[in-house]
Amino acid sequence: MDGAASADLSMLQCASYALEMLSHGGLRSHVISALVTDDTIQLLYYDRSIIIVSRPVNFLEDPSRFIAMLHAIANLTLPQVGYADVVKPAPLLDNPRQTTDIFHGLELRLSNGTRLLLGSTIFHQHGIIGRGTCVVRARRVEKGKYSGTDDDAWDGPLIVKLSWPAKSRISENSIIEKARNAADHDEHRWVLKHLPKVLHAEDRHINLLSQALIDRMGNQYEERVLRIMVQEELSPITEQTAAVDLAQSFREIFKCMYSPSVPLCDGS
Amino acid sequence: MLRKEGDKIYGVLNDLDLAVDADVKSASSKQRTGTKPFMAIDLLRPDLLVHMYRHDLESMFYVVVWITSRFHNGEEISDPPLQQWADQGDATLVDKKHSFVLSVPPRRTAQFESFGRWVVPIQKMMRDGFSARTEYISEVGLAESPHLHPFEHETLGGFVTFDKFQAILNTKLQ
Repeated sequence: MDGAASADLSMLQCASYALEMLSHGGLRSHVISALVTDDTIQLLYYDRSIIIVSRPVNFLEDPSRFIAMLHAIANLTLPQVGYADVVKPAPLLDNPRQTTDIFHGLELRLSNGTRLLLGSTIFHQHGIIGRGTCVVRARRVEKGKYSGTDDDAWDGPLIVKLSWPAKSRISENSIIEKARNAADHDEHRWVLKHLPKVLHAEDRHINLLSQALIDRMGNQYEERVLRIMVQEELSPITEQTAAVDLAQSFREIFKCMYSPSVPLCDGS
Repeated sequence: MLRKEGDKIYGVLNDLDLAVDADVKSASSKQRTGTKPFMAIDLLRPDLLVHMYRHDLESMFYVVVWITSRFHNGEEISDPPLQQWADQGDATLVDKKHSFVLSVPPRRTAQFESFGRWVVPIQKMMRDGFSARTEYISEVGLAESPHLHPFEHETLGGFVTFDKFQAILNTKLQ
């Protein structure tokens, strides 16, 4: 195997580790790793928009730069390492073999002061580039100061959706809110029963990259935010086991999709 | 999804995080994302195309086929059909879905056998639409036919429309 092919394979191997860390290694904004080839080391940075590879540093010829690099990495805080600190404690892979329910028993503190205890994972997208959506069951353990009036819903089983959409992307909550507001008139009010009820939504701006670097990458880089949305738990449509009932649910969803109050969607 | 309130059950339109306003005429992200098994064929292609209503009709069709051929008593059956839709990359999925549109649909599970009355006509509607488009694109390439009417991409030449889809969904099932 020639040198270039071997280097590609090493990069592929590193990317596969980053993929697992971003998908199953906790609530991660990014991953930093390193590739050592003979007497050089390269730092690798993966987030949900880009992969950046540093120039190699020869640690035999340039030990002072190498030590400075190690020192800088050793002093990174957990968020700088890539753990979004809204979830506590950050899962530090006590059991690296556990790839499901990685948030079970952890706490999520929302900006309104509400504390949620996270439960099992319903869905976790596997990927480096993309929103990395994660859907987790939760229940409220402490009421926030500004959590609104919908107490019954907050006391029931909750769903938390954590995702990393592009910063410019309109939030799911605004779309649902717009649809709900548009539907809140006599002849469209039936639509409300067929739209999800969002209890809380917030964006966290988490980015390790400097603005100068982001500016330099220009169009190549899509800035992302951590989007947190809390909603009531719904049941899967597959719980309908009779054709007549399933057909009725499909008709209702179809009618809702094409109600003037609901925007175009991906039907998924 | 379903919302259960007392003994009432409501179908709920969920996952609106990929929704766009109907008047948006350009792609909303550098990367196109969606739930792969249910994405419309056109949207799986790398060239970014504007999202149209008929793409949602196509997605809903895939959801109907998926659920009615893979679930029984609320559980996924063993060795379910269409598994390759979930496992394949975009390029292969475009081919798989094209051949799906041309093939006999997978067998519905026992509880959902009657859904054939939806699946078969919707599939025909899609097939007719895609064929009309292929025919149009082929004819445009011929020098002797420069005066063809523009093709209506929004409805695949009038074959895939809200009204036709709704009429099929109004077919009563047992």
